[in-house]
Amino acid sequence: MKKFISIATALVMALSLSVTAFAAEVDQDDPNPTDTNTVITTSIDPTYLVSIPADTNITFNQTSTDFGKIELVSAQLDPGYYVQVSAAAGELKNLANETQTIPYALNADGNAFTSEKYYTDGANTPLTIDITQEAWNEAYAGSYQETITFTVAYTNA
Amino acid sequence: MKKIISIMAACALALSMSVTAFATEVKPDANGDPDPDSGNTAVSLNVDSGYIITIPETVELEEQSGAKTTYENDLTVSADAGVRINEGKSIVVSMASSSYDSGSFYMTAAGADQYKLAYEVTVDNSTIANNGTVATFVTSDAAQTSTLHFAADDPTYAGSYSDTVTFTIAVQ
Repeated sequence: MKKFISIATALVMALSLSVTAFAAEVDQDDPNPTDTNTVITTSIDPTYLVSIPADTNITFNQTSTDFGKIELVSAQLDPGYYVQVSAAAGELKNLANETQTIPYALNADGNAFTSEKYYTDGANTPLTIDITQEAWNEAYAGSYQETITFTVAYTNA
Repeated sequence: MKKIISIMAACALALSMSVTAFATEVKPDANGDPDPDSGNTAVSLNVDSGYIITIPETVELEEQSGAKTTYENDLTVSADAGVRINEGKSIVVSMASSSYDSGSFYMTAAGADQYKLAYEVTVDNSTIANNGTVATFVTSDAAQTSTLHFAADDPTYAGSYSDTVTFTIAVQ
């Protein structure tokens, strides 16, 4: 007496997954059952939101100005990955004459900031813009401006 | 002597031939009446049992946006119309995974050292434990289905998660 089980081609699940057929033959009186495997999957793309300092105005003769912070506001990263933020200090340039500059330092906790790695929500680095008194003393009158570029990278290197 | 041997061989041959048996032999008795006057004939037939069970090989959980983000999807185990098995028997489909631990199934992501994403399986709002029954099918002319609902919370880490569950089909 022949008993027959056929696990035929099944429906397509989710967006675009194809499902192949499983077939097995089982004798009704056979005490050994038949097994079949199904793979459960889900995929989450990495996301992150980095906050960088807003435009800041520096008061004349102030040697250290609060420059806000770099913060990983929210993140869902792949295991082992991190968000790296880099920035470099430069010179404030006189809008009327770019050859007239005021050097500044971009510091984090008193040390020069170049880059930092962020792994979890809320991780942050407070920054300051520091200008020496000597630099202030030598500065020409006028309005100065500088754009600081923060470079964000997602990596596990 | 030779003729006697030939006759004996022929008789032996006749006795060794197979004879088709009759269930009942009716013949007239000394009075010409049928003897016996009734007889029984057994009627029998064999009905093969059969069933077709369909179980998808993959199911991908999809993001569900709401008060909180979850990842969910349904998987349907079905039996085609015309399941036929012995009376009092059922086809029982159970599910198990080696990932099961402390009341939850778990998916893991490639590259993850320790983090596992817990997920729950329910059928008709009843939580399925490891080796739990997810479907029971009986003899029926109609198709039969059982819907499994898979659900996981938003994981801590991004990545591609997976787990393999084994469905066992048994007639009990």
